[in-house]
Amino acid sequence: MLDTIIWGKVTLLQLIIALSIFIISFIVSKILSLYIRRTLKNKASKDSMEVFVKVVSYVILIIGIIWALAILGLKLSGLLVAGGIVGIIIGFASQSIVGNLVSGVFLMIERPIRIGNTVNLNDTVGIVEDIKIISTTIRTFDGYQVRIPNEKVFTANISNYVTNVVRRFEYDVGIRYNDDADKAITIIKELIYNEPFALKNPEPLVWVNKLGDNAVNVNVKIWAPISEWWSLKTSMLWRIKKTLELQGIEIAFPQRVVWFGDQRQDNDSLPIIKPEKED
Amino acid sequence: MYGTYDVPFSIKEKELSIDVIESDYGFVYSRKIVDKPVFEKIILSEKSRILINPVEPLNHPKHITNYLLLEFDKKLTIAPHAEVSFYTTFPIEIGFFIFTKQDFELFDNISLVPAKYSLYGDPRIGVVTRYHKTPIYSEIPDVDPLHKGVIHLTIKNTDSTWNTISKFVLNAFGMKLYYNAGLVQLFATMKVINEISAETDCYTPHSEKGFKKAMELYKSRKLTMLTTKFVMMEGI
Repeated sequence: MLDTIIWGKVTLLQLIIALSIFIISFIVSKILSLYIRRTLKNKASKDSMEVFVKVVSYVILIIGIIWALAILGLKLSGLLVAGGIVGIIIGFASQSIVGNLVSGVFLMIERPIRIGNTVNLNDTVGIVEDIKIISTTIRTFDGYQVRIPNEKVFTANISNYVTNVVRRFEYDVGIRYNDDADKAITIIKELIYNEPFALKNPEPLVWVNKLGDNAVNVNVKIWAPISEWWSLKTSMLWRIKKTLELQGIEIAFPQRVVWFGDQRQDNDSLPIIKPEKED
Repeated sequence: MYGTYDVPFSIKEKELSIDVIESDYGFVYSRKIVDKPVFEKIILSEKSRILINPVEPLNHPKHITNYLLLEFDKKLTIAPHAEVSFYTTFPIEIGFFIFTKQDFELFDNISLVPAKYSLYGDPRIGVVTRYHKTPIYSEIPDVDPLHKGVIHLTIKNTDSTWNTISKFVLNAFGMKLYYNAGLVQLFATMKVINEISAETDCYTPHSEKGFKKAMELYKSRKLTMLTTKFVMMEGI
């Protein structure tokens, strides 16, 4: 029964052994991946760990496939010679796959993005979930997943928001012309000083950067650790506004003062427009 | 306040008070800090002990770094191949560990000192650190052990030129705190390599009579310790 020839010289026994080897190598690669993940959990970054896991599992799978093919009587050297025309056809058909695969390898070597990074890839903004050999998965902030082929990732304009350990944000706070800008700056600086995640160094910057049409513009630049950047940015402006108002400094809004010509007592520089004499 | 307590118990010191009272389902742990909301937790155990001791100041308001940066209020200039020792202060946090015969766990962790963070180095390769500014003292300064500890710091200039030091970065994994009722202390070294780099580390003193070694947070988190040293490459 097991000697039954299925195809060419391949017997049923050989096919079963080859299939078993393939399945075992698949199971071994999965078990090893799990083991590596568990062992390196607190010892390596998620990104490096995932790359290591992938390399190990691909190597085991490739060994399993080569071994299984050898049992079926297929020699790789023979495949290389015999596969000439087939190879060309497959090559043309799988051009994009190979492109993605090569890009995937280069992405893993150059590492412009890493798993867990917040990135902008050709206007797709989100967190890198996984970098596979063919594609990269991004989870957007709206909660859906975007799969991008690695070839596109490699040639895209990539903005990685979390490469550096700290990041800066800024506000423009417009106060009224009759408010004391020095006092406003002191209040804002004190608020920043009391905020733990507003970094001491690089130093925050608070200064009058523009005398606008309707307001004196106070520019505030704050550095924060990358993990706290967003929560600080979204909370600090309202705290600045409330604290300034508590101290009697108000945020300006667009307004226009209209002077009439006969209001000399209010402004001496205004010309007097004399009414024309009636005949 | 530091020490081990059998539940139930109540203690109060300055702005901090802790009450562990019996209830139908075990114990209710209640922590009060003046001007802050009361924090409560339920202990589902018939018998346990709580250890209160100082811990590394790197967990409040959030654990975002393993490094503590001390900036000296005046710059120090050290002669070639000189070795000097002095005292500085550092902020501390208070850890509450719950014990049973089988296991221990960090139960609560507070800080009575406002935190501030800073970057050591440049934004690309630097590290975020917990920031603390301190004077230097020739003798152990009088500090509140619930707020600050004292570092016995030894600086050794291995360089053949004069060097100026304004800051000192410590790795949390090496922080071994020793405490008694009136003092929390830590022993550290700084080996100046050249004008911009130094190696820092903490060490265990030969004998510290009257002091207990504090339970460390990284130990309670059951993390594998990587290194206790820190190499300052971005200026000293």
